[in-house]
Amino acid sequence: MCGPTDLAALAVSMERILVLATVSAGSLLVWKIRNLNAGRWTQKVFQYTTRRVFLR
Amino acid sequence: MANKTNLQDMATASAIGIAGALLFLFIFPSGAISTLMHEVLKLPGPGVGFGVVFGPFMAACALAASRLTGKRWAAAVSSAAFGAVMSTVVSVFNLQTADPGRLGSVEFFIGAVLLGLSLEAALYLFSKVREPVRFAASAVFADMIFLAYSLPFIFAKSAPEKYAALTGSKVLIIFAVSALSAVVFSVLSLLVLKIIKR
Repeated sequence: MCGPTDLAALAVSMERILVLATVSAGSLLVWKIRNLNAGRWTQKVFQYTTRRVFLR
Repeated sequence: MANKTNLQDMATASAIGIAGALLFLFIFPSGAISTLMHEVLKLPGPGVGFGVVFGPFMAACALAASRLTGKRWAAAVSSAAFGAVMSTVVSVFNLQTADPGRLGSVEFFIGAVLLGLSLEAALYLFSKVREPVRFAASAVFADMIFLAYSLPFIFAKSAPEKYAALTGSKVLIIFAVSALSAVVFSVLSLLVLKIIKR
């Protein structure tokens, strides 16, 4: 675009991209976790933890 | 890809284009792209901002629209909506944009429509190829057409000195980094759609 140099605008742009990416990733993570079957999820965590703690 | 189109699919494609245009205006305030291209990445101009950021971003939105609706012409409608909304918002709110890009001008809108049409043609041409390659090849093809149009029709008028100073090697660099960026944006678009399982 070869327009004027504006480092402040670039900083604002990077900040906005970072905020949007973080918010999107966070929302997606929350959505994915909510969609998981709660019973199976806790069961998996429990099994993994007990295996790691007691069966090592 | 199904041929039959309906109003709902075209509305979805337009909505993606509109959202993309508003998102683009929000995340790239005036001067951000040119600073990134010429000061940070030290790339030659003019037109590299269009080829590396603008074209691939619009192509990614159009590809998302095409895949979400699964209909022919969705990419073209999405790109046209992108260009129209950007032109409208820039002129209505009198937004300050980077002058050489002439965002909001008639030439710019024609470029957006051209990108959508070439993307649509490429998606049709590469319809037998598997999806990631088809997306990447279509994005590169459309971005090259968009860039080849923008250089003489937009940047020759808005930045004549830089346009006159263009050499073969500069043009090659501009087109090469633009092609690379188009591949990255198309993969990102596909990745987002895969994550949300569409």
